Amino acid sequence: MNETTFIPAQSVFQASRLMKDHSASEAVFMAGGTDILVLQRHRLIAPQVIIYLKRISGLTEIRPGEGGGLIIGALATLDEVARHPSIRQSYPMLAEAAFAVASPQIRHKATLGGNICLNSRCWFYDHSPFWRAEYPECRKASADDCDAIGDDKCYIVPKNRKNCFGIQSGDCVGPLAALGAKVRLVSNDGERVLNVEDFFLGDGLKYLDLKSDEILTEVLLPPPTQKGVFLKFRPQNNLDFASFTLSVLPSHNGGGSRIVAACVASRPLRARKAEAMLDRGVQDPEVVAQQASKELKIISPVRGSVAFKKQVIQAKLAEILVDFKRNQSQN
Amino acid sequence: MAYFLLPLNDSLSVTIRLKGPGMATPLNLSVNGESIQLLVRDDETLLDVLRDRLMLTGTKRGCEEGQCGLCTITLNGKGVNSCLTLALEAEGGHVLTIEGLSKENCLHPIQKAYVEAGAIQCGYCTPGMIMAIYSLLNQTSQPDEAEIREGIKGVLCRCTGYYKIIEAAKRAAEALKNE
Repeated sequence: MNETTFIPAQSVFQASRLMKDHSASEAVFMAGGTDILVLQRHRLIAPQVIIYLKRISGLTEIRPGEGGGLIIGALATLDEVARHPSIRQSYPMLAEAAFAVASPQIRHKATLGGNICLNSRCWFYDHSPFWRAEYPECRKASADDCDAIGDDKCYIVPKNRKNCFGIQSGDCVGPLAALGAKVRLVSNDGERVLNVEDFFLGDGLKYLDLKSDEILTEVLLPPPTQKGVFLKFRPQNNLDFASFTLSVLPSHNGGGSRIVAACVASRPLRARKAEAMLDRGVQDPEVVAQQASKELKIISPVRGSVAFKKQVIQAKLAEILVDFKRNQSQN
Repeated sequence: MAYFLLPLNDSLSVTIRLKGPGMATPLNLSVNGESIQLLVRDDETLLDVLRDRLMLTGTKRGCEEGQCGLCTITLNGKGVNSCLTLALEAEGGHVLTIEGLSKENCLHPIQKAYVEAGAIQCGYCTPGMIMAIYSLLNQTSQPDEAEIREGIKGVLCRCTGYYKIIEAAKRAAEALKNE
């Protein structure tokens, strides 16, 4: 195994500079380490330098933002996010999503920033070297490791397709996209603020719009409007990643409804036509759910086939919309 | 210093590498209330250090991927998987392992509850499970059953003895309340 050097960075700029001094395959950023260390153990990455971010002060803070929003430091652990009173009150979807991640032990370490930047996953990639020895390295595994003899193969997509179908797997991404959150990316060259939705590029290989020396420092939440519903569906109620997550916001004064399905493609997916139907006031939940299920471009058969996921999404979405309708009529 | 010369899990060459200049980093941490200083490799996990250097073998090694939870310890009062924690991450931290739970031959209430409820079968998950319950009771002093189930979700027991474990957690919460 390679010799690894562990460097605790004291500031974002130091971390960014350290990363610039190394090539992308040599160094990795690590916050909670619950993803990076597993990848390293699976020999999917072999970093020579681990740049540790958790000692950077000020990035664990959760504080009120401008105009009634909320700013969450990227190093806030998922446990902190799930328990924070103002997140639970104003953005219950996000608290539920953070709570749905793996086990308490992992939530105590894993960070919100890490959950957003989580490596894209696939059944033919995310395995031990022993398991992968049966198959030639797939496109993603060989892209991450410069020494591997790339077979440029993908076990999921048809031969003529060139992209990678690794899926975005962070549970918090769906609710953040539905809430219209933004992420702040900082490097020595300056900073950028992107919508969470635009942060994902839609390809499993290069899945984030993040330069190698950029660091996600903050998640910016807009002022709360409606309390939405978050649902994480997994084959068993265990530590597993999701088959899909659904984040639904009801329409507010004839607009702003959101239906986001995440963990089904390399980026979170919005059912825009179905959203428009909700905004127009289409009352039948079945019709909206059917439209959403039809238009979502689910690509990955991981943890359930595409047809299965579409069916379950349609059924669950209809249930959620019926609940919304009932709540509305009660009010 | 004898600790440093013990062979580590992956190869003997590590022992030799440790002697080389600049290869090891000093680490200060408190383990079970005792402050400890030692030299560690940068890629060593907290689990390696606890088991192979400090000989605290109560903490078990399982999947090493954070799925089984047998290596659960508490770091600054919160349960974490020690296999997914680099030793250097714990710099200046307070580590509590199963060995540090009992005080002077007197079992911790969770351990007592475990014995009384008969929650131990083969015993391999027990240290992780007890530390997970300890971490849970640190955060929620009177958990209901759903919270207990969520709290021990990260530890696998393959004797399928979860009912007794949940009962033990309930008894422990009760005992700690009366203390």
